[in-house]
Amino acid sequence: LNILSFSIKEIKKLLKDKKVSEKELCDYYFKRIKKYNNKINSFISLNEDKSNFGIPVSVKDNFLLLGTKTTCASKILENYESTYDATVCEKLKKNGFFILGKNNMDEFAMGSSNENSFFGACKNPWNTSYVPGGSSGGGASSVASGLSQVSFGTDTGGSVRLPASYCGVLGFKPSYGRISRYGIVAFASSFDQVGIMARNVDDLESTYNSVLGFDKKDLSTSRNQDNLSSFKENYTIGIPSDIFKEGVQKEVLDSLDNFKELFTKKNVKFKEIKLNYIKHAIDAYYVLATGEASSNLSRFDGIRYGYRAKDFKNLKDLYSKTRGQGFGKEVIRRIVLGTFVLSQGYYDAYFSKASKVRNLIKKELFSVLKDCDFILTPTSPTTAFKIGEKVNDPVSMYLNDIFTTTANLSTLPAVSFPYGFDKKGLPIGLQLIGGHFKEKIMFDFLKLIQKERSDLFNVIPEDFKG
Amino acid sequence: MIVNSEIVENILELSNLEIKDEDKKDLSYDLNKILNHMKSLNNVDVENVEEFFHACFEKNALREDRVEKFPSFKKFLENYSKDSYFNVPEIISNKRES
Repeated sequence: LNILSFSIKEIKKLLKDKKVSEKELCDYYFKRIKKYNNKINSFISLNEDKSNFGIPVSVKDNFLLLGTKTTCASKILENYESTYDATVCEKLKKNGFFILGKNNMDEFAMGSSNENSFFGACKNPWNTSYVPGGSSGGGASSVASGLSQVSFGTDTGGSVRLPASYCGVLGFKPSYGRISRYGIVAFASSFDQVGIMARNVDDLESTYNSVLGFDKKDLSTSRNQDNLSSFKENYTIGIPSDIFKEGVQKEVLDSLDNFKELFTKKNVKFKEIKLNYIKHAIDAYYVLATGEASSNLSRFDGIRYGYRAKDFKNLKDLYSKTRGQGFGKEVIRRIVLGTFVLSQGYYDAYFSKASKVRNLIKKELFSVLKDCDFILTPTSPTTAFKIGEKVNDPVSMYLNDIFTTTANLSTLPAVSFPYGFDKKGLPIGLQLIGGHFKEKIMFDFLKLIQKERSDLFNVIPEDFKG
Repeated sequence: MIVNSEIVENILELSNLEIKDEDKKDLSYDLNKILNHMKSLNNVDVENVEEFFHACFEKNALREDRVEKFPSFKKFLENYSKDSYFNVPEIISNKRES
C-alpha cells in the first residue's frame, strides 16, 4: 500500500473502510520523519501530544499550536511555548487533521532560501546541496519528500510559492482576507497570508476549504467569503512575456512554452499582455514589507517572553542587547531597512512612494484580470540554487521573488504548480495569478492541468522512496 | 552612498538594536546596495496616485466589545512569571547604572 500517492480523499476512504487507522497513518509519517528528517532538516519540532490522530499535516513554525514551541526559527523565540492555538490549527484539529510538527523556515519568514534559520538550513529533497527555497522551505521539502501530506505556511512575498516551485509541489496563496492569521506571528501585515503546499490539486483544494473563512479574532478576514467565479469551459490566460525576456533560465522559459503549446490544443486562449509596473514590484515590496516588519517586530524586547540578554545597564540597554543578540543577520538587516524607510526625512521618498507604486501595480493587475482568467509567469527566474551561493548578496536573493511579490502587492490569489525538471534534475514551477476572490476557478483550472499531466503530481524523489 | 555610518548608528538606535562594530560595516554596505536598487522607484510617475496601505477592502470591520474567557491564560505567564504577574527585571532604580 503506497499511501504517499494517495490524496486525502482516498485516504479518508481507506479510513472509512478500516483498511488503515488514523494512528497507523500518523505512525507511518512519524517513521518517515525519523528516517529522513536529518537529511533535509524539514522539521524544527514534533507534536508530542498523541491523544488524537487524523490526516497527517504540518505547519510552519510561526503558527501557534498548544503543546509545541513556536520559534519562528529564531534565537529570540528559541524556548517560546505556544500560548494558544492559531485559528488554522484549531480548524485543522476540528476537521480531522493531525499536526505532525512544526516546519523549518527562514527566521521570521524573512528569506528566499531557508538558510536563515537558527536551527540550521533546510535542504532540497531533489538534491541536498541545493536550497529548498524560502521562507516556508521546511513545509515544501516535507511535502515533496513525503514527510507530511500537506503543509501550511505563510506567504508574504512568495514564501509558499517559491519553495513549492523549488521542491516540485503545489504552493497556493489565496486572496488577502480568506484565511485567518490569528495565532500566526506577523511579518508584514498588509501582505501576510496563509498558504498551502500539497502534492496534488485535490489535497490543496480540500485543505483550503477546511481552513478558510471569516474569523472575529482577525478582522482582516473578509466577512463575505463567496466565490466570485463560476465554472468555465474556455479559459483565457495572459502572458507578460516582455518582463521575463532577460534573466530567466532557458529551461524555465521552455517549460512555459510547452505549457502554452499543450493547453492551446485544449482550447485555452493565450494572449500577450503588457504589465508596465511589474519591474518595480520588487523594490516597492521590500520598502513596504520591511517597513511593516520593523513595526511588527518591535514587540520582541525580552520583557514578556523570549530571549533576554544577561548584562544590561538600563531598560534601553536591555532592549538593544536582547534584540541585537536575539535576531539573526537578515532580520536585523530588514528591521534597519524598514526603520530607515519610515524615518523622518525619508518617509516620503521611500515608504509613501512605494505605497503609491503598489497602488499602480494593483490597479494594473486588476484591470488585466478583467479580460483574462489568469496571468501566467515563471514562479522564479531560476530553479533552486546551491546552498551558500547567494547568502552574502541580499539583492540577488531578493530578486528570486520578482514574479511572486506582485500577487501580494495586489492582494490576489496565486499558485505555483510543478511543470517539469531542468537538466540538473531540479523542479521547475510556473505561477498563475488569478482574480480577486476567484480561487474556485483557479482550482478548476489546476484540475485540468492535473488531468492532462498527472505525471507532474504526487512525485516523490528517488532517495525518499521506501 | 545613501546611508553613511552616522545614519546607520541613528537607525540602530531608533530600532533598539545593539550589534558588533564589525557587523556595522557589512550592514551599511548591504543597505546601500539595497537602497541603490530601490532608486528605480524614482522613475515612476506617481503624481495624483493615492497611497495604498490597507489590503482588505471592507469598511468598518467592527465587532461587539465583549469579555470572553481566554482558555489558556496561564500559558502567557509561563514564560517569565512569578505568581500571577510577569516577572521583569528591576528598571526604575538607578542601581544598575554604571
